[in-house]
Parts: sequence; structure tokens; C-alpha cells
Amino acid sequence: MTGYNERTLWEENLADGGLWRMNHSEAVTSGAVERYLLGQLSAAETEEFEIHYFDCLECTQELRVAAIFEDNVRAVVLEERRTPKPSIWGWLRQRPWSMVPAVAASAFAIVTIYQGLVVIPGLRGELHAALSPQVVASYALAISRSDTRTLEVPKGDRFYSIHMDPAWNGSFAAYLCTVQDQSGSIRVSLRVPAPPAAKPLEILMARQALPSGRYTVVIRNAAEAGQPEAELARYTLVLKLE
Amino acid sequence: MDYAVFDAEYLARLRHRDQETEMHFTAYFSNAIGLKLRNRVRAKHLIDEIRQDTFARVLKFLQSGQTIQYPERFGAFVQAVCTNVMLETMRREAMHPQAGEEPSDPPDHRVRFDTDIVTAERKQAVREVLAEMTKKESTLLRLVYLEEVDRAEICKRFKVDPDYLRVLIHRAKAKFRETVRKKDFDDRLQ
Repeated sequence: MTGYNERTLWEENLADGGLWRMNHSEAVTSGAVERYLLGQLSAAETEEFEIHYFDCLECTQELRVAAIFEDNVRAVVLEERRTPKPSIWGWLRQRPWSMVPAVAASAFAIVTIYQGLVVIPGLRGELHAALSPQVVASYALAISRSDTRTLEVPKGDRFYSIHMDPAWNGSFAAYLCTVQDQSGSIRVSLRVPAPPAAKPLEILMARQALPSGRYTVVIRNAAEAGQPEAELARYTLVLKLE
Repeated sequence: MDYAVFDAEYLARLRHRDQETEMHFTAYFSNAIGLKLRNRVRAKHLIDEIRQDTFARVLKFLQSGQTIQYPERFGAFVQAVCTNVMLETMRREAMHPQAGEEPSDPPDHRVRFDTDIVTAERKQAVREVLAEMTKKESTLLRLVYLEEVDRAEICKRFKVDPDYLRVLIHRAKAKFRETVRKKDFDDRLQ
């Protein structure tokens, strides 16, 4: 370093016709090596620096190291581009079999969590409700079609009971009870054992068995094999679930 | 390589076809010419052609008995001959491209994977240099050497002065040389 602005002097001399030659100190001070490789030198500066470094061992060496560094950086960057870091999805796409345990574990975890948070508490609640003492409303069905009393099942009641006084002669071992909607479709069908003498035929119905509506309950004798089956009575059920 | 200072004796040995001096001459200026042409000529065969033609013209000039007024500036003379040969070659190529010798879209020979410029050890050293930089610096350095990215645009985007790039490369180059030296990867950088 000489203490004055050599770069400015160099540029001034270039402007004056280029008679003045760059020396090594000026090349170092002006960062000519890096500026040359970066293309930051003007045409005149480029010419001056080339004239200089063809005679200058140190600048040629600096330039060579810089060029080697540049080529190797470029090679590294090109390699990085050719082999991008695989994303987790890319990695999985290349190895689909590796997803099997992960998917199985995830599914198992989801099922376990769902059971723990939803199913099991629900079942516990239902079991608790089923085992708890509860009052069941009981309704006597009328045989007359003109009797339009409505059986109202209060909100929260999970069961209700319907009972029918026998309106037929004789006694059978069992009865076949069907509940038909207004279109004649059978919505419920079950076999009911014969009640004790002089007792009504009683059926416990779950709330969700039938929606609100008008139904006909048909009682038949549950005939044994080879015996004729006969309709014994029809009852009207007008149900309203609150 | 032993880099002798150019003087009248050196030129006299070249004039008298001293084999050792001729070998030194071609080795030394191969390097210098290669550095000059690396950012100007893409096709490797043209670089080789310009280099050989330059050597031939310089040696012919000396051996014809003509003299160089300032022997210590022999390098500048070779550089001037090289510039002329380069311009002639490029002019000729522009007027009469030699179809068939090179593909129409030749690869970038500046990344010479087939030579000893790029080596596994040097790439490892580059990775170490990049790893020691800040994220901004390493990103900048990567972008600077990508041809498709305009350097002025890089400076604008990263809000840095063009001189910052020069300093960054200067520091990275020094670190690279130090890494190579420490690991004893390659003594040809020295």
C-alpha cells in the first residue's frame, strides 16, 4: 500500500490513453482478480489487468485459485440441483412399502383414539343407563279403530311398554306380534310367549324401534308346525315421540 | 512449476528452441491463456486452437530473429498475440461456423468435469467453506456462479453492493485455499 488511492490513479491513467500499466500493488488494491472474474471491470480495465497478469506470477496464481474455486462451487451447486434433498413425500413415493407400517400404526392409533374418546364412553353410558333403575311408561292399546288416543313417549325415555288385553277366545302357547305402518309394511315382528292367565300381552319397545306415527299391531297365534295360523286381534297404536 | 522472470536470456533460449524453456513457456502460458479465454470462449476446441495458434505465432516471431523491446514484458506480448488470435478465430467462427465439429448447442466447458479442475477433494473443501458461511452468504455465492442469474439482479434482490460480492468471493477463496492446505488435499493450489 502506498497511502494514496491507487485505484483512482489506475482509472485516471486508463482514461488518459492507457499508457500507464497496472502493477501488482494496484491489482491487489483494486481487487482486480475477483472483479475480473465477476465481469465488473470495464473493457479497458480488463485489458490492463490481462496485460498485467500475463507477466505477474502472483496474480496468475490468485486468478487460478479463484477460477478453480468458481468451477468447484459451480460443480457443487449443479450436483445439489441434480440431487435435491428428498422431501418426506418424495422419499415415501420412492419407497411406498415403507409406508405400510406407518399407515397401519396411524390407523391403529386413530381407531384406538376414536374408541377411547367416543365409542367406549358411549358404550359405558349406554351400559350405565341400561343397568340403572328406570321407570317405563306403559300404555294399553285399544282394539277399536276409532280410539285415537295418542301414546306420548316423554323425551329421555328409552323404552315404553304396550300391553293388549286378550280379545280372543282360547289360549295359545305363544303369539306372533307384528307392527304395521299405514302402508301395511311390517316394521316390527316378534314372538311373544303367552302371558299368565288373565294377564295382558305386554311388549317392551325400544324408543328407536318406531318413529312417531300411526300403526296397527296384529296378534296371531304362533302356530306349531302343521297347525294353521290365524289372526286373533288388531290394535291401534298412535305413537308420538317427544 | 518454476515461474521464471522473463528476461532477454529467457527469450534467447526460446529463440534457440531450448526444450526445457519451451516446456516452461507452454505450461505457463497455457494457464494464463486458459484464464483469459474461460469467460470469452465457450467451445473447448476453440480454446485449444487459440492456445496452439498463439504459441506458434510467438515462437515463430522469436525464431524469425525479431526482437521484443522490453523482454520483461514478454507476458504482455503473448497476451496481445493471444487477443489477436482470439479475435481472428471468433470472427472466422462467426462468418464460417464449422458445422459438425461441435454440437449446435455445446455444453459449457467452463465446468470441466473431465479435467483435474474439479475434484472430489476440492468440492469437499467448497462444501466446508459454504457450511461455515451465513445462510445469506452461501446463497449469494451459489447464485453468483449460476450463469442464468443476473449478478446485478442478485445485488438488487439481496440489497448488497457489487463490491460486497467481490469481498465475499475474496474471503471465500482465501478460506478455500486454507481448507485445501490444511487438509493437504492438493498442493497444486499453492
